[in-house]
Amino acid sequence: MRQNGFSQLYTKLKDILLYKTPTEPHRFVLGEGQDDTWEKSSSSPAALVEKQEQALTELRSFAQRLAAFMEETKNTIEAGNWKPEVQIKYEKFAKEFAQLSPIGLAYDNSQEDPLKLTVKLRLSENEEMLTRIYNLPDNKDVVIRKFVLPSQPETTAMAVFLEGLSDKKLINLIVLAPLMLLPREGMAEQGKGVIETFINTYIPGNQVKLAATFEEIAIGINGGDTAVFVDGTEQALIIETKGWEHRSVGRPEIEPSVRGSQVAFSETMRVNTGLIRSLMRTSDLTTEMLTVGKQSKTPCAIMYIKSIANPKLVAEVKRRVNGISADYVADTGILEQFIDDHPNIPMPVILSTERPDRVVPHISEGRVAILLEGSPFALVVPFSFISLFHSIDDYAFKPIPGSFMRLLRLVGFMLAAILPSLYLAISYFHQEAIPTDLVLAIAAARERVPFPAIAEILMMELSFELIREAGTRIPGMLGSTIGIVGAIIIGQAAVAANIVSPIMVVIVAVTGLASFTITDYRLSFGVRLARFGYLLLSATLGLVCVGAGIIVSLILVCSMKSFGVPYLVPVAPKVTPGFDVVIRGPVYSQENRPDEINPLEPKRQLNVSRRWLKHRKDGK
Amino acid sequence: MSYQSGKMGISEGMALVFMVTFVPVFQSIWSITIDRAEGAAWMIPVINGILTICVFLLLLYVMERVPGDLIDVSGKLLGRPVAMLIGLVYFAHFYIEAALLLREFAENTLLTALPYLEFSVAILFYSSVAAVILYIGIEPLARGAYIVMPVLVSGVLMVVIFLYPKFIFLQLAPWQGPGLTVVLINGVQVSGFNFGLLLLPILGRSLHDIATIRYAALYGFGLSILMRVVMLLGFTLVFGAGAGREKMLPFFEMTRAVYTSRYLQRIESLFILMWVIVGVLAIALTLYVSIYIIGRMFDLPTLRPLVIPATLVAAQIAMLPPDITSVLLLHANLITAWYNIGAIIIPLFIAAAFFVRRKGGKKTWPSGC
Repeated sequence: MRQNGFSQLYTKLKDILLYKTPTEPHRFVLGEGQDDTWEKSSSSPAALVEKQEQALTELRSFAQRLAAFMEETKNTIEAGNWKPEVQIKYEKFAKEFAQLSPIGLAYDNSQEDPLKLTVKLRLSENEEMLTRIYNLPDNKDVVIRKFVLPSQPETTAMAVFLEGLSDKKLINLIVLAPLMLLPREGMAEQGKGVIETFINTYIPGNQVKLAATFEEIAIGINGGDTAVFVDGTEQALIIETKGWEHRSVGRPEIEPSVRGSQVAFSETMRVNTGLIRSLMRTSDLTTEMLTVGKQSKTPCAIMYIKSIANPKLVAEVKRRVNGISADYVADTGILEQFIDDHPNIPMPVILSTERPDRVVPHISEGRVAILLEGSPFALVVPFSFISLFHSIDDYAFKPIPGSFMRLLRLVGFMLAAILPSLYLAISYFHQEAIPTDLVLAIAAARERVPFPAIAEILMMELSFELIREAGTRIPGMLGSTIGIVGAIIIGQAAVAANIVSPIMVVIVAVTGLASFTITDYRLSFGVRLARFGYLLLSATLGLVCVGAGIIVSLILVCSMKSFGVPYLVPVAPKVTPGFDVVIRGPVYSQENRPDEINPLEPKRQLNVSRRWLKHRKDGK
Repeated sequence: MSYQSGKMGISEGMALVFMVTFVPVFQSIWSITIDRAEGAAWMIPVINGILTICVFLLLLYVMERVPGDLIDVSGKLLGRPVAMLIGLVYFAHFYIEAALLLREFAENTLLTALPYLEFSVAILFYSSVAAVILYIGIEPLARGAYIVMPVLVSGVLMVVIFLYPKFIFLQLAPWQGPGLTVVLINGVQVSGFNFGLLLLPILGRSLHDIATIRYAALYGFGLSILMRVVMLLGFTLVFGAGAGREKMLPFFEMTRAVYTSRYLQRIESLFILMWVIVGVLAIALTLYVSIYIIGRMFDLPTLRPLVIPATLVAAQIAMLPPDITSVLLLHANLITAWYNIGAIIIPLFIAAAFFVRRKGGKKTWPSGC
């Protein structure tokens, strides 16, 4: 029966107010609970009992094997058939016995983290440890390949590596083949030094090292290396077998250049350090390796020239990188926020570049480069605001065009920041500043527009931002095409529909164009945000508010520092400027390194670097 | 924002002095100056500038031999009570100046840029911006001032150059104005105009050393005096003594008079940017020096908690005078009388105490504070 309006309202209210048993099954809610742990807590009585049980099992297993060995030895002696293998087995048991001492067992049992434990003599124990560390058999990435070494007596061994990170062909070639086919005679003679024999004689890998703790082993395996455990030895071999898929070195996409090098960093850190080293072939160039991320253990390289970089700066960089306590640092952008002096101000105080040829000049001036595995960008610190207007092309051209380009970028920066707000302030509050003919033209153009200028400009700016963001997100060639087409169509349509005036389209277009002259995307973003702020200020109190906004922004920027170096150096504070600030001098006149970084060696080149001129004067 | 920094160099010190002593260029005092000195008005800044810098160099001579900032030196030579009194005098100078600047710039904003703006909103606007700047700190303020300094100098020069077609050189005649003696007396009388120069010895701990203070004073104050002379010459050449004495805002009138073509006219509104920047910086700086003095006198560990109360009280004081005329009269009286105590009399008094005590046999003073 159809309900009338009153009944419908009554039913709805009843549905809202009265409790009803849910018809759907209980939905999953991720709340906090007592059982939010993978395993029982190590301090619980059950866990302690389990640990003690493990220790007893180990002791019982050892006792059983020892009894069997003693029986075997007794039989051998009685038969008068003494073999050297018995001696080897005896030594192995002696070592194992030492590991099972009460102190050793107590230490092992007290360790909650298996990574802190040392490698055991027995292969089965090591395998169990790896099972705990890598959550086996759930974790299918880890491959454990057991095999037998053809020694006398036969020894079991296992190779452990991660599927997808290691090169399988390489593992077959330099790990399994040599070890499984090695001559028996050599092994029998070596006895105790079996691991050293492998390294020195059998394994042809170019980087092989020994690891005694599971932490070292896990770092190696997680980095694509293969760990080899041999029964009866307290160390494991870490053989370099890295071989994951990665992008090859490509062209710079974000920082294109007309005359500069056409090589960009890739996601593989070692390739990137190699690219830098290929451009700076000095033995002074130091690469220190750190690890970032408690879980991810991402390798991070700190590169600097030891004879130039200030040791305090290098120490500060390492202090900040080592001081990151995070699970996962995925990218240099995230790393930058962790080590930034002003992470909440949208202005970049660290150079981020994809060009090796942009990193190298900075390193040679005494700065420090930071590279992260998996990121195709390098960070350079410390960095100044003025350097954001530098481009690699400035150096490829002669001083006058180089300086002109920089001035153009500076003008572009200022236009991008304040042009719309200046227009708005003048058109709202100070119309007398516009020449009469122009003000009449603007008034005529705006006559049919029903919105105030602030609404017009915000609409256009937002449309521009949308087009820009859409152009970035749309894949491939379509992005730029849609960006251009979208801008033209929206601009024309908006004017035709009398939503905005033509002058506004011109203002927004010039502003957008100016913002593209900014070399750094992060600075460009900061300027875009500031532009909206200035727009609101100019709509409030005109040029008075814009002036205040400019001076507050300037003073805020003056207060910023990049790794202890003022951001606006060498202008404010004024330090001895090189001939490379805004106006760039000839390369042969730039004798000194930047004063503000306090490099160990302030001189970059001789006062007369063009020594051939001197020779000519001498008549030689 | 600790005041035990010692981080600022010559350029920062120069910018601080320039900003405080340059700000009168945008104020109304010049109509009084031109009224008194007529065609010789440009000599007034020269006379009081030379006198102030001589007294200042004498004070630096003392400070070279008696280590410390101005309050330390006063304490060592005159005793702590007198040093406290001197500190209070300078506090009053800078704080009153901050309040007057707040009022004058707020009034000028209403006169020139935003006629429909509520007066109290203008005061609130300037005081809020000054407070924000104070929160950021003196060092960035000084560096920001150093960056805008060339823009300000270029702006004044540009206006004077653009006014060249309107120059009437006979406006400077008679070149002695009402007579050199009258000009000299007037010039000396308004030396209080330059008391801002004393901020350098007051902020001595934030600057490197005496040499830094000396060069900062010579360059910053010298440039400021030069700009005042250029501006006054330009003003006199365009308007003359007769019309000039009636102009409420001389520099604004100069920018209004600029006309080079149909496309470069009525540029006064563009100078509002410059106007606001100078005003905000000068207000923030004078407020900072005043709360710094309080911090120094009472050994406060930080100045930040004082920023908002000091700014609010300054804003309240700024709103006390009933109208702009009484503010201008008060400012003129302060310049000709009260400010001279800080600019001339106290430095001379400290120097006299130094020479008397040196004559009495004391040759060395303890270093530090």
